[in-house]
Amino acid sequence: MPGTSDLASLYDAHAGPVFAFALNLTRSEADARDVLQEVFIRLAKQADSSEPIRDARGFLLRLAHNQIVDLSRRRDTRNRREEAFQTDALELFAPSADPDEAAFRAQLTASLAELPEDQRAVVHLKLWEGLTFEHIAETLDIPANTAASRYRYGLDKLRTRLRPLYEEIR
Amino acid sequence: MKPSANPQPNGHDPLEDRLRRTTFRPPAPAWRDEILAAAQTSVAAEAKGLSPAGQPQADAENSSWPHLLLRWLRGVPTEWAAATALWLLIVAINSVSSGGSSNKSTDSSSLAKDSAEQRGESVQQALAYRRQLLSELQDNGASDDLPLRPRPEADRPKRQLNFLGTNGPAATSA
Repeated sequence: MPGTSDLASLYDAHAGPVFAFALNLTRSEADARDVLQEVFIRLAKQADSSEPIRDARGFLLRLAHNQIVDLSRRRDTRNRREEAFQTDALELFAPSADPDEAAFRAQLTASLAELPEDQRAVVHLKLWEGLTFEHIAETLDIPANTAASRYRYGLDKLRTRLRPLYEEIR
Repeated sequence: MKPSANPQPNGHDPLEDRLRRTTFRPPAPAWRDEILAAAQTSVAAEAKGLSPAGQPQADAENSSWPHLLLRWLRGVPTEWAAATALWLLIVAINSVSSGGSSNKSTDSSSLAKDSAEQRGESVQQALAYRRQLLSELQDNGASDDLPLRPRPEADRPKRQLNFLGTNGPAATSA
């Protein structure tokens, strides 16, 4: 069993990105918190099995993705519709004092919500985690070509949606 | 002229850079202690219920194939309901069609029975008629020993008369 300090240092290093990934995919702060907690519970159990974890960030992101997939399977259609209405109130990004930046972040939040979940996952891991397509493929358990095509489609949609505002505030 | 958000010829995409610089909201600081405490508590509670092999029982159960199958089945209830409805529809159609065919076979067997009875009656009638003709011929042969020779047409007995028995052999032999 890892010491409290080990687990705490892992939390300090990786909780932010794992939470951001979960928040971007679940679109719910409560669900993202549940995913984050479950990930660290499993991490504590995994560390207890004396098997070394080579890539902690990749391992945590993979655990988070599995949790999110299980969560979305448990949800019925009614709950998903309710979540769709809650998307407008979601604060995905850190608040900004700059009005232009705040408008851009709000627009980006809405644009990401329109992406299919599989494209959103790839776009998130590529843009905000800086993973290669091979690493993304390993994390999401998909072929690397599929990861690349999902990223291309997702980014094209974001570009189309954000272009007017982006060119206006730039 | 404002720069475009489209990728530049060298592959550099200013919008991608802008997106990368956008930082996500961090988790609430208060969650840190709660989550770490929950993780420690969960591991400690599980350590009390270790299986003989030293592996957590819950993980062993969760990784068993019946558990995985049940979890997978529970994940798609709508699809399974649709498959069940389709299966019931197929069973209903199959039972209706098999019931109709059994009635049809019953009808056809009764028709065959009726036609066989009718054929039997007609055969018996034909045989009775043939026996009557034979007895009539035998009676004619016994009444005169003369060799048979064609008789004038006018003398030939009418079949219906012979059949009715109104014109006997005595009348024709004269």
